[in-house]
Amino acid sequence: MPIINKKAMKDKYRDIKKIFKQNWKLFKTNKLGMIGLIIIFTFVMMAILAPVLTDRHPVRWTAPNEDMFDAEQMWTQENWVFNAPDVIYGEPSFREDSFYMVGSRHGESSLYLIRPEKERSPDIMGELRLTGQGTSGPTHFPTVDDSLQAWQERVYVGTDQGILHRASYSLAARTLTQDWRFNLANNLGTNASIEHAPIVAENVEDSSLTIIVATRNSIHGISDGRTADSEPELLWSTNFEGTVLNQPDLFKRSRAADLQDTQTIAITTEGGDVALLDHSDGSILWQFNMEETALDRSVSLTRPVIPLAMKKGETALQTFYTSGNDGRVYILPNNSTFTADDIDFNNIAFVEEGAQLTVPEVLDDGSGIYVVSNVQNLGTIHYLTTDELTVGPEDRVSSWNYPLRGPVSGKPIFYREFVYVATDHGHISSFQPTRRDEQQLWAAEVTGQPKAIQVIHHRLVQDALRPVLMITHHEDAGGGVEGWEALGEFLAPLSPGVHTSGTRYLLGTDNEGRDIFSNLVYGARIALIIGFAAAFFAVIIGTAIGVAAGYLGGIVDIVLMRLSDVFLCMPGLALMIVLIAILGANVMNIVIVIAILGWPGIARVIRSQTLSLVQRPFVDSARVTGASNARIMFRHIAPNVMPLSLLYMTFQVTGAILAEASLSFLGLGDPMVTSWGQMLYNLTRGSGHTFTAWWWFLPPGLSITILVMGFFFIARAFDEIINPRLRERK
Amino acid sequence: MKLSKFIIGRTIQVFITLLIILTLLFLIFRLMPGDPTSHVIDPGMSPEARESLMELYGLDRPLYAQYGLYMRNMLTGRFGTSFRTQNPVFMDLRPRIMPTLLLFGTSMIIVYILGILLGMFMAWNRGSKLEMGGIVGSLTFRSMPYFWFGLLMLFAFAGELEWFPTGGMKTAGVDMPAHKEALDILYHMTLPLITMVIVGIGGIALLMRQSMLDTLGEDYIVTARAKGLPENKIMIHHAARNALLPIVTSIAISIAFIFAGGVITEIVFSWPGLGSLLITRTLAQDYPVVEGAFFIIAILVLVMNAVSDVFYAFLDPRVKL
Repeated sequence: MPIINKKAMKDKYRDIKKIFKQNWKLFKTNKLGMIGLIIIFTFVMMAILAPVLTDRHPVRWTAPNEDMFDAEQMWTQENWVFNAPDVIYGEPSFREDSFYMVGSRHGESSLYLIRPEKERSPDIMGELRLTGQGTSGPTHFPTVDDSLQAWQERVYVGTDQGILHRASYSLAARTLTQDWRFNLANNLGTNASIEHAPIVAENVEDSSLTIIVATRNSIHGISDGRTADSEPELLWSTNFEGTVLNQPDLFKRSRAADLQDTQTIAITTEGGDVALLDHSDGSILWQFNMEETALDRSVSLTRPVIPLAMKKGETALQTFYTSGNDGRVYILPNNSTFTADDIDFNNIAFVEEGAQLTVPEVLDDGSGIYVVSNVQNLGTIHYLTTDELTVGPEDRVSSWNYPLRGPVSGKPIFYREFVYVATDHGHISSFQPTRRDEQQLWAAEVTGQPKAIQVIHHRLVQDALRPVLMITHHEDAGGGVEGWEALGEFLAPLSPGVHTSGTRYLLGTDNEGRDIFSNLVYGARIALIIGFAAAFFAVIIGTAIGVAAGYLGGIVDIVLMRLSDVFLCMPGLALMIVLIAILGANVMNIVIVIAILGWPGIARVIRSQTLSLVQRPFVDSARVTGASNARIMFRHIAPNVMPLSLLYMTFQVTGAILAEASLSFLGLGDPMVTSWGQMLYNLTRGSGHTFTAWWWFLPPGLSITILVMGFFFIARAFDEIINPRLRERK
Repeated sequence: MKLSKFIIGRTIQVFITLLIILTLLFLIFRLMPGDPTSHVIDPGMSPEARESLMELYGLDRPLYAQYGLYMRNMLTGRFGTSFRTQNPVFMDLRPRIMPTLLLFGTSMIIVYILGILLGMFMAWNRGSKLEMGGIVGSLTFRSMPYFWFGLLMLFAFAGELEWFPTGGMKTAGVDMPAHKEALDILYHMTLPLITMVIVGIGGIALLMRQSMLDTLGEDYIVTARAKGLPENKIMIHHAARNALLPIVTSIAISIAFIFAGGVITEIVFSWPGLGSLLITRTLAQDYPVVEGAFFIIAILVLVMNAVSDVFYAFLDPRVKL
């Protein structure tokens, strides 16, 4: 006898087709059933066609920033001004919520660690007396101390007597202590005054540190170990003819020969010298003088800056920027074989003839720079994209500029899509690079003379650190550090419709700018997958146990039914919560847990159905022909209880969808996928919009309700087909 | 009397079920992947305190000994010490029991009374538009997740209209006389109660309708009609009374359902009950409290089940074996 009997298969197929046709005829007459079918069909199509319906990824896509928040309301002045020292030297070194600062009071210079407090005097977390007068700001460097095995912050600061101080701030003990002082004057005499904030280079091989210090005419490398008691040692000194003008900048670059990353120091000196130094021995990699170039122009250059992406060791951006008092931005290639002869004068961007330029601010991704030109005590801010920077020298390349209300000596800063610039007269303006309509977004006046602005993160509000704009005032204007807090509200969640950028949001967005419609469409997938999968497994388990209990009877029946009793009267959701919390929240575990808790109801119904089937003659005749128990259960009884199982599967789907929604709502959903319950979890978990964002609140809940309702309607229709008694007598 | 024997039998059954639930809990918490001690002993503890707790729970002993110790501790109410509050777990649990009983008990009574009435009218008006409306309405509300309907209530009556408070059980920080306090609690309970009733009522109403339709086909209804009894009397005395019996047996399943809804309703309305405790502590990984809260909830469900069974035996003379 062949294993596959073709005729039997054909008969079976015809039977199934006939049964289906008959039942479909019955089903069609049921109005609610048809509505249910249409609902489910709609959601299934939504789930399948999700990528066609929306091209916005439910999690990764977010609304453009200009829709998300309004720069005009972004910053509000807060009344905390820190004025404790008479003078503040250089720029403070900002940490996440506080800053290191060098200041002097009554002629004594000190290093301070200060945390600004709103509306009361700032918290001085540490204070350390310095030897000599302060000249510039401190530099801090977080590190793990090898001897203490704890996080520490190293702070380096130099004075006019040529003494480099190292202090440590212990994050655990919250104390600022002095470690050592290193006297450069022993080697250099009176020219030892440390003019600029030191920089810290980390050696790749042994992760020891080299502190790079600039005195008037030379650059020094001082080694420092990782432990608290490590002794400093002067490694090298490199002398220059002119005065070193700026704080050196440090960046990684690839050596052309072996492609290995090395750290390079870039400096500029009086008279237009630009030099690159190797950080390990101070050897000059290349040096050239602007006056000797083809341009034959006397120029002094600002501090060189490197795109942030470069500093992280990426080699894609092999350029750095410096600007001169000739109104040009110089884009210098960063490789060791470069000589002055190779300078490509197509790479010199002409900004404004004869203008004194500020240090350029480079966007994080290197896609453009901001620079301010000063002509006759009036600054103008320019934005140049990388493409525009490489246009010929005599073309006016800055396509975007905006006149400011005074001269600017500090540099503009870029923070979260916005650039801020402060004039020396205390006028702060904010601009957005993506908006090219030359609009000033926001402006404010501060009293005093800002010399630098920075952004730090201050207060924890709704899971996010609020940024604070820190303004350091010039000592001539009384010094002090002033904080402006970002109190302006984010505009998201966005209501449905078209917003500033011209983007249309069918159902608006959530508070992180994610598209509600996309989330809704993709959420249908998870609801259906978990609903069907969990119901399927629950029905398989329930049917197997029900048939076994009903057919085998005896002790098996008693044990299985007692067990189902226990499961039935257990608080299911509570158990699910506990199980998911322990097992971990992912789709697989959610399906398993829902299935494990869903089988008992089905098992009971299937058992009673089996009990009545066992009495039927066909079971007896199967037994007489010598069929095994397993065969009778699977071949004779199971097919007959299948319609009932199917009915209960429909009910089970509703339960599974609701259970998954509840788990997700409680924050126990799979974080890797987007579901309707999670949308509501995000809404209620401190978004602050629970009672306002109806477009965020209604759609997921309505979707759950309508989908579950569809299954209930279908289940009712099935019920009436399977139990003809329920059909209405006409 | 036979009833007393039935009650004793049922009590033993409750106890056995409880033992099974405890065993499951034990297995869940001890046999899960990862370090089993991390579910029992606070990870932030000093080694000495850890050691002594290891000894107390017998975590250094074989599994069956742990099981015995665990059973003894749970049955005598020694659930351990909370990781979060450092209190004995029962101290955290005790103030939570009454609010849960109050909310769940009240809502259950209302759900059953209204559900039975609604089901009765649906069955009696079979085939009418009224019945169809009742069915669709019941199914719609049953399809709503408890938490979303609760949020909807909050959205409308606490957010927009500001008629009701957004959560809690009492107005905080106010001392008031007993009768005023009762009113205050009632005021806070209104929205959670409405939520649990509206979402929970559909299932009972549909069940009652079904059961009522079954009895309406019985011969004694035809007889009553033939006798010329008034319709109201037939509906209430003949049909509804007999239709009630299957409803009472269904209580077992629906209690668990209502409790599941209640747990999440408590979270939405910040109701200081066992359900919200269970969820917040689960998310905070305070496992001793989770175990304790789960155990108490299970006891409540089981006892309510048993009471409904006894009640059923009392109602139906056929059950008195």
